Parts: sequence; structure tokens; C-alpha cells
Amino acid sequence: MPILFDSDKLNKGKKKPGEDGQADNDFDLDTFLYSSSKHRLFHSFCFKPHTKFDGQKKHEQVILVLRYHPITQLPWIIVTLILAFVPYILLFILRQQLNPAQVIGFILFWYAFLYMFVFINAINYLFNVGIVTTDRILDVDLQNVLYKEVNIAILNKIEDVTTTTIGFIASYFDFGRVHVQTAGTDINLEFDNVPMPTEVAKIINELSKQYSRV
Amino acid sequence: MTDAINIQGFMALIIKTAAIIISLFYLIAAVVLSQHLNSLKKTIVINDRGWLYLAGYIQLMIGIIVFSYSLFVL
Repeated sequence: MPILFDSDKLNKGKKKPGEDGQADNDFDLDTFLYSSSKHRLFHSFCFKPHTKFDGQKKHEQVILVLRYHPITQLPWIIVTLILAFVPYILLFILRQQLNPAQVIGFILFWYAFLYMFVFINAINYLFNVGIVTTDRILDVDLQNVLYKEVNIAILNKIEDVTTTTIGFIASYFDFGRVHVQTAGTDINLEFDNVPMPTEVAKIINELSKQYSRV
Repeated sequence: MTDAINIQGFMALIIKTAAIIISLFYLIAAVVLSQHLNSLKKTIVINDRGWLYLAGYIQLMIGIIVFSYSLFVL
């Protein structure tokens, strides 16, 4: 009797996803790890940068340094630009009440504080980072000028990485939140408004898989 | 007329005192920020070619200028 359909034969030709040890999306970590250093979006997504940090081990290699997406910095930049023009309007109104020395003093004070505002925001942008290394993940948070919090998660303790992109702007410019869940009572990490969250999650997942076996 | 001059003088004194206090706070904040920057640079070493230190020193200079101005000119 001729065989019209053999399901076993059909299944032999097909490989199940993940059966050959490769991920579904053909992400090759080894090729990735040996690729050159890249910096994107005003250093908000730095791949293999020459960054070092306090407590770094000798063999530990920094894979990713993440900052806020530059588009999320626009509010304070716009505020700065607006505030840069405000003293002229105020001086036009108050020109009768103030003498020349006070006018110069007012302008001097205004721009001094504006400079401080820009400086603080620039520091917050530069040092509010998430660092992914071959050993662990660090989240450095600067809530305000004098508050610094550093959270660390070891790669082999990572259980799940989820990404969240909310809103039209975040979808258009491709930034969002990366939530790293760790095992047990270890602290969970969150990188807010980082660029290319899916790529970040993919890299963390692959690193976690590879280095948790070591 | 005399009263008007006295009020203006009093206002000028208040402005000068306020300016000295505010500039003193600014100077203290600039020093604290500079120290904070040093601490941050130790935590994460970023290759900024010294621009951040320069920005910190400029802020200190601005603080000194503002304080001197409010003390001697205003």
C-alpha cells in the first residue's frame, strides 16, 4: 500500500527552534563580542567603550554603557534656551528701577545660575549610566546632585529581561525601559529611557546564557 | 525727596546683602559640585579629555566673580 503522508519524515527535515543551540534570531554572541567599539546617539548607546569603573576586575570587559536617549534631554535644553533670553525681557520691564551696576549684577547672577543648571544636567546625563560587563550589570543612579546609588546584579543571577516602550515618541525614536529581574532577594535593575531596548535585552540575555555556564 | 533717597539707599543695601548671601551659596555649591564631580569620575572613568574638569573650574571662577562683584561693586 503506498504511503501518502508520513509525519515522521516531515518532522525529520525540520529543526525545532533552539534545537541546534542557536537562538531564533541568529544572534551570534562570539562575532558580536569580537566586533569593534561603537558609539551611537551622543554616547547614549556605547558598545565596547573604553570606559572603566570603580571595582572592575582584571578580566572583566565592559560590553555596554547605556545612558538616557538624547531626545529625553530635550526638555532641559529647551528650558535653558528659553531662560537664556528671559533676563532681557525682565530688564526691559525693570530698567527704570535698577542702576547700571545692578543691571550687570542681575545678568551675571542669571547666567551663573543658568550655567550651574546646565552643568548639573550634563553631569546627570553623563554619569547616570547602566553598565553591562562580561560578569555583571551595574546601574548607577543619580537622583539629584548629591545622591548616588549603585546597584549591581551578577549575570548568572539574572532570570528575566523585559523591555517596555510606551508612547508615540518612544516608539518613533526607539527608546524605553529595560527591566532586569534577578533571582532570589537580589535587587532588580531598571534602565530607564535607554536607546534600542530590544537590542540591550538581547545582549544581556545572550551574555547571561553564555557566562552563567562558565 | 530725602525719604525717597533713604528708601533707595535701603533698597540698595538689601539688594547688596541678598546678592552677597546668594553668591556665597553659589560659591559653596560650585565647590561641592566640583568635589562631587571628582567622586563621580572615580566611580566611572569616562574619556571626556578633561572637559568636565574645565567646566567645573569655569563654574568655580564664575562663583568667585559673582561673589567679588556683589561684595565690591554692588
